[in-house]
Amino acid sequence: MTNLLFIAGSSRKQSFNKQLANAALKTVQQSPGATNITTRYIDLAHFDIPLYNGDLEDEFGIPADALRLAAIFTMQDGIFIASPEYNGVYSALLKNTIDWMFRAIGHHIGDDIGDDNAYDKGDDIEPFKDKVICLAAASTLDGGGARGLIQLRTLMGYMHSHVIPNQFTLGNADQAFNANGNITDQTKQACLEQVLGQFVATTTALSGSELDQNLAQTTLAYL
Amino acid sequence: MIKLVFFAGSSRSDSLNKRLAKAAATAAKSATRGVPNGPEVETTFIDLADFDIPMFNGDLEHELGKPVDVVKLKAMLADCDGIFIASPEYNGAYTGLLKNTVDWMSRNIGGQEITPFKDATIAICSASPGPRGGLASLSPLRLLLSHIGSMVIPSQAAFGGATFNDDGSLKDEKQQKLLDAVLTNLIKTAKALKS
Repeated sequence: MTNLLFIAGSSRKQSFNKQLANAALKTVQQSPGATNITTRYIDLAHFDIPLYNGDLEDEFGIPADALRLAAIFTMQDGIFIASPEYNGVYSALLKNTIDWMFRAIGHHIGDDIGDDNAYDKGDDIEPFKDKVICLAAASTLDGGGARGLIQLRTLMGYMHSHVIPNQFTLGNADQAFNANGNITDQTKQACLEQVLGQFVATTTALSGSELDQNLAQTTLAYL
Repeated sequence: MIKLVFFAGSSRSDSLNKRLAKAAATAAKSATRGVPNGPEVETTFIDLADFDIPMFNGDLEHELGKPVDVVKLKAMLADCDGIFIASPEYNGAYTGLLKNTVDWMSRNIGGQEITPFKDATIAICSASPGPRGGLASLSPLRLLLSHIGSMVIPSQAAFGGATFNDDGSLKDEKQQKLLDAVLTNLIKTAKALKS
């Protein structure tokens, strides 16, 4: 079984990137080849995670919702991130969420994450290492948020995730979706399907392989 | 059997990054020894100095077609499961030699589409005499290779103040261990993604 998570780096209710994450999820679910795949969408607005502050962490530890989210990430094989572009870069919400989850490494999965996963309570939290990441962006501008993905690719590489080379960007996002949340432009939808095809294929291939468990620590410690 | 190709983004005869690529090629052969179901590894070191590849110029390409050595290098890179690149840092980025080589490799040959970096599994490392080991070249290189469709594995390493033993291995044991770890991941990823 391959577990895929779909998230957006925005909390706005009508966020175009939330719409894109949902359209991508639906595309994978409806794909005839998508057997043995579970999909899950998560709205970051449902997680109460403050801006990172070392004093806060010292005093109160990792916020419960950051631990919960990090546990959910740990359970995934692949993560699709629809990342809005704010001033040419990813959003502070996305960066802050990633930063807190990184701090959760070394903690263990708690008992508040449900039983729909392959991980047991007490397993190590590893939200990013060896996960396959698919990058996407939606924007009302012509560029579709592509600039923001450049730095997100570098960041996720640093988190020791496998970022697939293909990525998807959706320009003029305010006119891109119909009432059902589907992308109306067939060329764009075909492009999304191609990117998701690589995402699913890479995730399936890599989730079966056992990568070097100690490597991330080694690399990060050394650099 | 996993076939790996190793090269450096430098042509200088005594290049530190060539030495790193050679050390990696040697280490890769034994990287999966003792690993259950570890594949056999075949390694080839390529010296870009042996390839006569001019600076890219669209007029040149239009008039004369592909240089013979471009065709040769393309074939060598296309016929492997994984690539290891040792990338020197020149002014905070990769070298012109490496960029020019990648650019030529991305061009089609008379309608025949061989794009060796597309869907290739690649590990990137760097070495330099300084303390940061050429690290700054790796982020732009990761983006460049991702842009042309390569799967760049997350493991990377920059070897600061790298020096080598007579047998070609890294003198610093911690550095050699790090190189081994990158290679193990390159081999495992190449094996998983081999289609």
